[in-house]
Amino acid sequence: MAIRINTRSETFTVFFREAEPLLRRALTAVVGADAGKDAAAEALAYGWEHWDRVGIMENPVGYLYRVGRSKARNRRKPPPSLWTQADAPEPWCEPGLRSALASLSDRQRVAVMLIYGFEYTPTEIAALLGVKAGTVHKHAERGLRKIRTSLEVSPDD
Amino acid sequence: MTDVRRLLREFCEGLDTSQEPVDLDDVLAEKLGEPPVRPLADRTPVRPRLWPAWATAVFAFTAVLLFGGVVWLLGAGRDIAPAADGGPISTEAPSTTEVPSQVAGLPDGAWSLQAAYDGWLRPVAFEGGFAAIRRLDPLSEFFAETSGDTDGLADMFTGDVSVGDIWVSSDGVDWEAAPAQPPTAPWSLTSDGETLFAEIGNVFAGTGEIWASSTGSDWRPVLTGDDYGHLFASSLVSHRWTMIPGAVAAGPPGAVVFGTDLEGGVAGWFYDGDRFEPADVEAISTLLPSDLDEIHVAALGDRFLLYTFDQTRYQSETTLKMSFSATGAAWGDPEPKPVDGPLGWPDAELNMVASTGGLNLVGMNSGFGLWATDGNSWTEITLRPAEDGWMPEVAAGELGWIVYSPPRRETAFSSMPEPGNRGLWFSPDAEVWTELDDLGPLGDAMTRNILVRDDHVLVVVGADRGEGRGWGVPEDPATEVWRLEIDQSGVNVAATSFNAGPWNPILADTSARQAPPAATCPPSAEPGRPGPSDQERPTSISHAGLTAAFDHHAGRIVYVDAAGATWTFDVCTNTWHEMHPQGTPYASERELFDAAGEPSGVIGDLVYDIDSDRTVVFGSDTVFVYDANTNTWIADPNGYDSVQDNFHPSGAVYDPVSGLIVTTTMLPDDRWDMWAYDVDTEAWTLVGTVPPERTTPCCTGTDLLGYSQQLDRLILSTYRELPDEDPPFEQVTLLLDPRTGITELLPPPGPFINLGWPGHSYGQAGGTIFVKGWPVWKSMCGFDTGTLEWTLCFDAPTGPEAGSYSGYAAMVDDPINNRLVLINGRYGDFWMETDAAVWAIDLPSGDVRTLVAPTDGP
Repeated sequence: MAIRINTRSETFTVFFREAEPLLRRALTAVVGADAGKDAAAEALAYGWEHWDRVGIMENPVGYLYRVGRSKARNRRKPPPSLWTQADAPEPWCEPGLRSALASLSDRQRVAVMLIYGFEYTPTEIAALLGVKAGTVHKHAERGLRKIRTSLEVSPDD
Repeated sequence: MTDVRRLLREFCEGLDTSQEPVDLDDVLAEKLGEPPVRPLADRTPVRPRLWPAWATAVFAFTAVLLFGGVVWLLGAGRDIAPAADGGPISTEAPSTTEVPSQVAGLPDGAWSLQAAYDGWLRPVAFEGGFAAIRRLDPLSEFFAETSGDTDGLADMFTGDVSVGDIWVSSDGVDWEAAPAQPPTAPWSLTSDGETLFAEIGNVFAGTGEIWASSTGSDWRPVLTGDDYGHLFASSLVSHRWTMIPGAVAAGPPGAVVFGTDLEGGVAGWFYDGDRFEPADVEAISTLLPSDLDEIHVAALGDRFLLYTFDQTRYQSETTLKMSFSATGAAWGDPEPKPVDGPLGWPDAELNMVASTGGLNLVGMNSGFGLWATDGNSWTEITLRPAEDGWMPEVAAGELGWIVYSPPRRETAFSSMPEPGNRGLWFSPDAEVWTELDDLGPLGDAMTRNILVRDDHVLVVVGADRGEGRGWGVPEDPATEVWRLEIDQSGVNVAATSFNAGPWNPILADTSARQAPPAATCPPSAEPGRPGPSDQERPTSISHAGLTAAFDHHAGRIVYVDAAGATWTFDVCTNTWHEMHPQGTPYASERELFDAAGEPSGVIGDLVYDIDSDRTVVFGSDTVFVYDANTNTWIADPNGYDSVQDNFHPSGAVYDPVSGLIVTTTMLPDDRWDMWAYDVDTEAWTLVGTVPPERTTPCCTGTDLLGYSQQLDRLILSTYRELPDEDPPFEQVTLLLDPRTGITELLPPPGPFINLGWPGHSYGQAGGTIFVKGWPVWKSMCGFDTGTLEWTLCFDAPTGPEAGSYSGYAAMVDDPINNRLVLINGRYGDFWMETDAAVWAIDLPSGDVRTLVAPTDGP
């Protein structure tokens, strides 16, 4: 029995549904699957707790990404990351791809995974990271170049 | 064939498949899972009272939560330092409050708990000094949704939970928790000057009590449910706002309490010095607020004011109904007054009620304006700042007026104050207002600052979810600066510096050559006159973050558009000129598309190198140099080979001392390297790494904003990690000495730079660095090198939709005309919509001028 329409929770819910996948995927790219999801959950909880302030920001997703990233990086005992575990490829994973991704900088990994893996635009990623779209472009291109080098394939392969 | 992009897609699809999304309900209930803490000492827990089932509502008030810590300060000196004498109000504040048992006792099937938080600190003055109710961060909105229970109803719980406590001080400097507290945390604290009144629970809904004290410690009940419970069958109060203070008002006339009931009507009491006695409210029996809105009471200088609105909140053309009483014992006929404009946010409320010099003032942050009354007639106060704002509390015959500018967001709620860009005005008589030159670090967004003024000290308390801070100024606030000694976390927020690590002295040892003569406009020029609106202009904008640069020698702005074409803008005639140069600022047309294959334009920062008289683009893989004299682009054949791997310039500025261009690039560990580039020799020099060790929480995500010749410092924006704070970072401004590498962190706040969509942007003009969109997104604020604060603010041009520009493709200096030129406002989804206009902000006046009018559309 729904008993009340709440503007605050409604607006947050709308935001949550749009922002959660991007935040979770981006933070997963930074710190791995489990810690990334935890960081996303923490960031979103922070957003909900402070929704009066966060909700009127121009770029709440970018703000919460920074919250999640800070929380993840400041965790005293960081869990093993997808990127730092021994290379035991998942069934769907090309051997060597995970270690190739692990060799990228955080920003390169976020750019590469979100643009080429999840098909977000550089502009969306720029908003998330708080950098220029051109910088995202560079991160993505150079990250892709590094992966190709790691996998020993050329752009034309 | 190995398609790396396909591999990445498959890898990420696998991740998505194996990873459950974050659960919305878990997030909404997150704060309910925090561990309980020990209740405050000497407090008798009160068992929350279970109420009968209500028709359709299920609401529970409870409390949880973190106390962010409030620190209070006063002291001498401009410099900010850790507290010495005036320490924090609390050193052992509980981090959370006990989760009430009722939460666990919700009916079976309750599945959704939602909460809003609303903590605050409210001080009042009384004869013995000051008292403050320190609210923890309670759930001001808490309700449960049920399903499957027998009758479809649920229970309502009241909020008799310890969510705050009372602190007292004799001088406003040293504070201590009152040794004896009311039985539960009060929701409001008021004073008539002699006696403190604490509202406990919810008087409106018939569950609360009023307690009184003359010292802050000797609390006793003066109005209880026994006095009024028989009057109320239900409550007129909106469930959402049942806890809003307003049932109690105290001031020079005394104290009154009001409540309303659907059947019983209005009930009121007045304080006779011992207890609250029933008031004669027959004349105001028709004042029942409609649509479950509240009735409000306020104390003026010589009378009480009772008011309500006759329409739902957020509506325009409503009517404010007011009634006055000299003592609260009897009330006069209500006086209607139309309100022209939307009501305040979040609820209709007269948030400006004050008295001075025998004048009673009433106002609200809407089109209602500010009015004065002597009890017989009304006069609109016009000698006040043009902006709307909040009037804080008043004491000792002086008014404070905090103005937020612009005060309104274009939302259905209206009048939502923006953070920052405030003005603070003072008046002894409500006629002559004096603006305080130095605003100091006033509170944050939606903080209703409270001023308590005595003979010597003005205390401002911004209390925004535990972010309460206090500032003190000496007697003459118009001339003295603010002093902030400690913040709520106890962190020393004074400007701190750290030494540089290894630092190449190239920027100290190199001297710029003689610059070519700077251009001027011919005497016949009319630089203030807009250029032709139908002129050819750059195609769209680059969304890759390209800036423009002013060529001092040519007197033109150099700009590269989204198609890679080179343009210059003549600031004397306000006309664009496509240059058709030899060469391009990109290696191949492929560079004009981003990683997703979308057109992006040239990527890189544009800098004019004055002593070389050339403009530089730091592109994707190399540097391109434009010589306006020969109209030629030349690529540096060495690219970034001599620079570190993953070189990403995050801002570049010309250093007029060395004649070199300085740029920064982030390192994988979030530090950043500073490089110097010599256009003439195409040589790169690593200057140093900041911070030298990855041991300090500073500085991540750094943007190089500009160079101040006055300070001889580079100005940067960065994030400072605060692992144990909430939020876990803050934005700060860095001053970096390019000669020595010594870096100084200024106290927050610093600009929140986000160059992603919707695109805050920055630029430099007249020696000042401006940031668009901070602290108010419709404005741009410059860094004041005198005060080291971001206080030089201008309104930004408005877009096709009011206030719609979120950023600009370029913000560039026009030293000839002493103005900041803004090119191509961005608005709409992902700033792809643009109208290719050019504006200028005249720096001396702040006036916005259109130099090239917008086109009809993108």
